[in-house]
Amino acid sequence: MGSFFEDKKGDMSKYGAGRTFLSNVAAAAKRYLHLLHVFARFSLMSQLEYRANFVAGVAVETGWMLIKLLYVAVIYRAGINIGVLTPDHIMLFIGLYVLMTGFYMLYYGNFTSLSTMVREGQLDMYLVKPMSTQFLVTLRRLDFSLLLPDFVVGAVMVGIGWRRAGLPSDFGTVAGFLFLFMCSCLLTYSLFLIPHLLCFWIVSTRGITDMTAALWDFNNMPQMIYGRWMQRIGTFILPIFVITNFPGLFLMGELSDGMMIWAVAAPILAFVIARLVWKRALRSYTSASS
Amino acid sequence: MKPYRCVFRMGIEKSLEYRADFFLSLFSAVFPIIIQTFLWNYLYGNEDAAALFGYTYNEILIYTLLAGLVSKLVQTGLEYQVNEDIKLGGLNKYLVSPVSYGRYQLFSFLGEKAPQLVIMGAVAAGMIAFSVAVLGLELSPMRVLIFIVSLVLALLLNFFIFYSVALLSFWLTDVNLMFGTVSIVLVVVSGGVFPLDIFGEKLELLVNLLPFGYTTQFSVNIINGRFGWTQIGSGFLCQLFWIGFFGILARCMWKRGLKRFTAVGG
Repeated sequence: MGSFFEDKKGDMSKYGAGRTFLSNVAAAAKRYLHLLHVFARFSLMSQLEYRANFVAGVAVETGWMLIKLLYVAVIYRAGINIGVLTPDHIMLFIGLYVLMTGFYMLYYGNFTSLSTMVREGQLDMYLVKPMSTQFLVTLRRLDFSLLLPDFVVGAVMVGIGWRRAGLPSDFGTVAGFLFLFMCSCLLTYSLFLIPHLLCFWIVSTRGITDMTAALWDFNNMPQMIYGRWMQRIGTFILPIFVITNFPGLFLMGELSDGMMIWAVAAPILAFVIARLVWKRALRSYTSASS
Repeated sequence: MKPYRCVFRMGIEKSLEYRADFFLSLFSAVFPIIIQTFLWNYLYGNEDAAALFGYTYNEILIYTLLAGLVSKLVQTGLEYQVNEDIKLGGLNKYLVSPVSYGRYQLFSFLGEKAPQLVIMGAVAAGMIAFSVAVLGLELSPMRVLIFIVSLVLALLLNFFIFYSVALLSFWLTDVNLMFGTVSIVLVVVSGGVFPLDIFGEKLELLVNLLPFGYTTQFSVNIINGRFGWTQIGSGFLCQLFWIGFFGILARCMWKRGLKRFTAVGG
């Protein structure tokens, strides 16, 4: 797929001629993790410079969360089960959705600013940097003001739902849950980057932003609420249900072995597709207005 | 009126400038409707939800079908433009022109809404026809007419609410993120997601007293047959009162704000 971590010429020989491919990848991954840390540090510093703006960001995300919590209020008011899910399980599922939204929002601003960069030719500057352009462009700004409220409320909801539903909390279950959660993070990044890449071909992308936001909201409710065909489409064709439903189903012991494999394969597949679309999109970049 | 006719036409052209974007944005309004339809189907299919929420299955389904559309239709967006004009001094050119800035924004807003109104009107008509044919909604031409009038008033009310919020830019320099918060919270409190009276009588009273419910919930409850004529009459009075209130508030804010305006960057 042409590694996400490779530098501009795809030449990894500078990491040492005698090294194996794996150790080269490990060294590059270490370098990019360090870069991510630097991006995070600079993002946080620049956000805290304008504290009022930071607080306003928290307020915006809290407003969105209010809408998500309305769904919880409706479910608890009705007090019914959805398939095998009790209201406590549903709280866990919606909590996972809120938590995942926080992580998605952390880099979401980079996706939406992509269209401006393409339209105004600002991408030129990033193309000449000695690192993966996709990594730089999609992860350079991390918005902690949007992560904060979702992370706090989502974690609390997951904790309450987990405890009240009496789900196991041994090491294996927690480790498996965290692993699937990380897979979901990768799937979110890849799946929702693809539609934003359309900005290389169409100029204004507000409609795309609205569409992806609306698609993301399908996870606001557990997948069991939708019809069988919609569940299949949302699991295998456009795997948005995998993102927040699978970690919860794993905790409940309701995830079959086949689905477990799909939970790992779907993010990898989506990432490969996103990577290919990115490369194709970059070839269409005309550097207009720069 | 001629300059405003041109502004209205410019608004139409502006909203049709990016057609793919325009239609994708409209299409995105369908997804929340699908999610909520599944939710209500499940709740009403497994529980006596009608007694719990105070809405019959048909009422809540028609509400879901139309609330998303109405909420999208009355949505503004002018606040960002007003903020930019005040912050960067673009307001100057309007001050020296023989036009009223408020009226300019109003006609531009109505122009931008016109194409949406035509398309969404067709979609809403399809949904209402579906409700009549499949869900057994009883509908008189009078109710349809009143629904349309309430929609126009809702559009005006939302314009004045957001114009007043936008004029805060005279006092606060960069309020873009605040606009985002206000807009989201208003979608919730206007009943754009769920009708708020399903959460109990206290919230129902609050919705009746505050202006926000009159931008979405009121219009939808006219067409789904939930409101009787008395409620419709008093609702219209409240809608008119709030339009007048925010109209006067915007006028006062404009007068006082203009005294603070320093025309920096213009």
